[in-house]
Amino acid sequence: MFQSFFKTSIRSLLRHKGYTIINILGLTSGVAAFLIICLYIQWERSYDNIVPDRENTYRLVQVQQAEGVGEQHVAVTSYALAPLLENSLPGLIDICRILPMWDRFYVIGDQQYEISNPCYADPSLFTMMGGEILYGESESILNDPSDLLLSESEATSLFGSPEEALNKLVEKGGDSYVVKAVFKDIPPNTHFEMDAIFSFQKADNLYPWLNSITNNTLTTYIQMEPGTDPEAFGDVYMQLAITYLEEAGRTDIERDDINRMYLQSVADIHLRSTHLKFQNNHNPGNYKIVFVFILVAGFIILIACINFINITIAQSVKKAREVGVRKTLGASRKSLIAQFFGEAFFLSLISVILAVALVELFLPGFNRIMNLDLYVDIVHNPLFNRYLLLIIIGISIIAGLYPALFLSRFDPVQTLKGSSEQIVGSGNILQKILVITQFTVSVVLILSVMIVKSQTHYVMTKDLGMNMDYVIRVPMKSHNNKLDVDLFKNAILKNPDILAAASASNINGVSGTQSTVHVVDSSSTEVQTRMGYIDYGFFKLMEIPLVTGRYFDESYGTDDAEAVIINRAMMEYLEWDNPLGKQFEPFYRDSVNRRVVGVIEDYNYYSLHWNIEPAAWRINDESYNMLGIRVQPETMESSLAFIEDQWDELFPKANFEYEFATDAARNQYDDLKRTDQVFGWFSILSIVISILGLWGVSSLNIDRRVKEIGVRKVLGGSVNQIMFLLQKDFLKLVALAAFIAMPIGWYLMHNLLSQFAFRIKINVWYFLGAIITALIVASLTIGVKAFRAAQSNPVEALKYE
Amino acid sequence: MLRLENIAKVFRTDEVETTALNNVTFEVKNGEFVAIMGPSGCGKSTLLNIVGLLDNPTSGMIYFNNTLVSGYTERKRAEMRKKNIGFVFQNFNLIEELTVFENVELPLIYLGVPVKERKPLVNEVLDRMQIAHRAKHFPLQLSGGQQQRVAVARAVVSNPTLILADEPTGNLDSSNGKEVMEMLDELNNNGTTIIMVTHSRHDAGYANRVIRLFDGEIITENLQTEKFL
Repeated sequence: MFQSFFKTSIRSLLRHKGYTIINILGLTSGVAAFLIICLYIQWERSYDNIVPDRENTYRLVQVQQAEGVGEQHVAVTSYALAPLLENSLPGLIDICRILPMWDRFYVIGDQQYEISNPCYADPSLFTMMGGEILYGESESILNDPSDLLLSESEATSLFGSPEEALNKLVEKGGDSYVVKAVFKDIPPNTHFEMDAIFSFQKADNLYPWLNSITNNTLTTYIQMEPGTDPEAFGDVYMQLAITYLEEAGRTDIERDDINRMYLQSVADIHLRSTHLKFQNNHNPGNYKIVFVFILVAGFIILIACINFINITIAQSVKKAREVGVRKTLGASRKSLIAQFFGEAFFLSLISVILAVALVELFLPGFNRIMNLDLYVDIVHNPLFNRYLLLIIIGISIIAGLYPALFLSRFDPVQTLKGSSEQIVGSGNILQKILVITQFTVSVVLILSVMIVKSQTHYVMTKDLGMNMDYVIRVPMKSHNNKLDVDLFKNAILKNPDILAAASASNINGVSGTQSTVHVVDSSSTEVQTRMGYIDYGFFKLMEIPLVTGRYFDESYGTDDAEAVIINRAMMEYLEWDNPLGKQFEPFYRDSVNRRVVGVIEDYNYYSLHWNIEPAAWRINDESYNMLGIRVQPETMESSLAFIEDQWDELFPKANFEYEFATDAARNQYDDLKRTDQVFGWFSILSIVISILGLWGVSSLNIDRRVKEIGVRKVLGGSVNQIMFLLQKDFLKLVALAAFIAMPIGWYLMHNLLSQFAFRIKINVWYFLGAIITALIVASLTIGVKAFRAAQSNPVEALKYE
Repeated sequence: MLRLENIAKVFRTDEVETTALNNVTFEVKNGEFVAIMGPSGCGKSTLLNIVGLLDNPTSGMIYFNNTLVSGYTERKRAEMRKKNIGFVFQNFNLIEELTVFENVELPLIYLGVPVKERKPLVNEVLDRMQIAHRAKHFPLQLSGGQQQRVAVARAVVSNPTLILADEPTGNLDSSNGKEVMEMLDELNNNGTTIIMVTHSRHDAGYANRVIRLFDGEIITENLQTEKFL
């Protein structure tokens, strides 16, 4: 019996090639897109799998009430916190701290080398956070100040091989470190990067400020006993902090003054950290983007299944006769249900096999866009060796359910009498609902693509308040001292095509730290301030305008020690009408008050995800990590060659590197750009699948109305009238779909854009654009077939019937 | 073999109630060839569908081999159909995706006849219907007459005791029509009971008895002691 079903199905598929292609094309591309998105989601969700007890390992997050900024959640804590918790936190198994290092230049033999991702870490690192020692000592590591561990790739790059690296000396500023062990490279789907690990025993000696409980510079992870309620940590910590402060004699501190602390599961770090500041180099993913991709994947599969169901409904007049014959000959309903599910299963199976081939074909392109290294592993990846079967069954059920339950119910008398039109009448309602669903999804996607594209364009082109065009950023590497910077700067400025050059901790002018500063007034007003370390020419170089006062000026002689420039946000927060001359208490490492000599306009020193917070700049020649150089646009190429020559002449042992400031700024939106591209492609795909489906359904429906068209033409109907008649019903559905899509699209996009402090407004034009696009696309799709039908000779139509 | 008592069939829509059959009572004996005649819309096909257990009457009783079958569920009716009744339609109703051989094989599949036994049965009946040379063709590759011969082959392959034919020559030219009628006649001569709906007096001439319907009621029931032709 099944052989007969199978034969009928295959031959039916072959006979109606056009519709079979629509179905297979839709399902194949839908499943391929679905699989690619699943691979991406798998990757995003696989972050930090390296951590052995991921379920019970947490990162400490601090909630600060920052004056001038408001509440902020920061992923950094104090070095001094760990001993406090170690002794008194119930349920604690282990604790580990990681502090990324800012200085990357070390000496091996008589050569200077740049080490990738150096950091300090506790000895518990490998047992608690994962990783594997491959060579050298695995016990009692990171206990000695001179301990140094290298990753396999870093050891190979520095010493030729991991074995060669063992016990070798690495030096810095008179201190020596010994390579004690080589560890397996930390996989890229880990939120912490490390290629060289130093002992905190050394950091303790080098940086006495590390032990201050108020200095939040590093990440603290704790491993708790299974079953410990992470929610309870907040109260426990608060009690510990109060006891600690009481024991330290600090009775002046109120409970409300103590920063709250909570635990963030390691499993959540990658995807649920966009609200956190100071994540120590980690560029987090975003669960909202993952959610949007899941939605798109679901949408694509849904649209492809809807095509299948719709085309089956449209073909049901033909199918009805077959059902009638089979039933007359004694087929049971059960066997017919099996037949229709079988057909859907067969089509899903072909589509899934083709889809896997398609994934292989398109994955490299997807990897390029997303900067990933995903691959198809049929043997080991459960997505392919287990869930693929579930996908096939799932699609078969969704796509086969309606035909199986509905068509199998057909009354043989009615179908054999040829009055199936009435029988399939109820299918028309479902068909309409499905077309509406399909186009609702398409309009949501069109709307979303338009909005994401606009936001991407907005962040790429928004005036940031500084001019980064034709400015290049040259990292000063180990030559980040004033002497070398001045030497290099003076050398390049001899060239008239180099318009200006200035140094700072980074091209955005801020250092990445946030400090509490106090105003010299009766209440010692406190402001959490972004600190900027720049040289005299930086604001002029970046063309950041003044609100009042002046830029730093070397000729005053005291600006480096006494002057500060603030931004408008700081001025407004402090409600200063006349900010010039106002004073701050001495900054970190200062000995005298700082006096405001100028106020600059607010500019976006960080990405548009964040608001512009109060910031203060001072001259600090210890933090000149890069030199910004503005070049005459016309002579960019020769100027770059000149700059490189000067570098090589002055610093022959260090490689010359540079990047355009605009690129550096735009790289902050890589995630958005990737989302934009991938989202765009997948949306186009789903719209194409919808169009294919609409074409198929409208064609079949028009075919069914051939006699009606003939009669209307005989009675004097014009081509236009008939075309309007044929398109009207579908366009009404598309218009209704557009109406339903609007609130859904608005909600999704509003949610996605909320991660940007600076964002476009979702106005009515986006909605109109999406609706008009959908209507035009639908009209063209139906129009071709409708035109042909309207043009046909009425006699033919009537004779045919 | 078949007894219908007071069969009525009423079709209802929201506004209209149509009585297709009213108080129809008749009996068909084993081996009879009965023709049902009457103008369009008189209820011929409705009657045939009820006799063929494809449809249920609104009221009345049907006895098949002295068993009351009019209250059967669809499952039981399907079971009765496949074991006892063969159908021949005016528009052939062959499945276009199946070959001639496969179309004829279909009733045997539903009866659960094993593959090995099916093949000789199908070949034998195709031979008998002189269509064996077209066994591998699809219905749309055949002429109307050939298609109807396949339909007759499909109706008889499971050796049913009753064949119901609904205007079997309605879509055929006269020579093809004659061939089909001769086939049915031969089947009847070999003992198969046949009930046939027809407009054609000529075709009705093959029957032993003609039942005439008008507006859903039997108006005459003529026993033809000798076949007309």
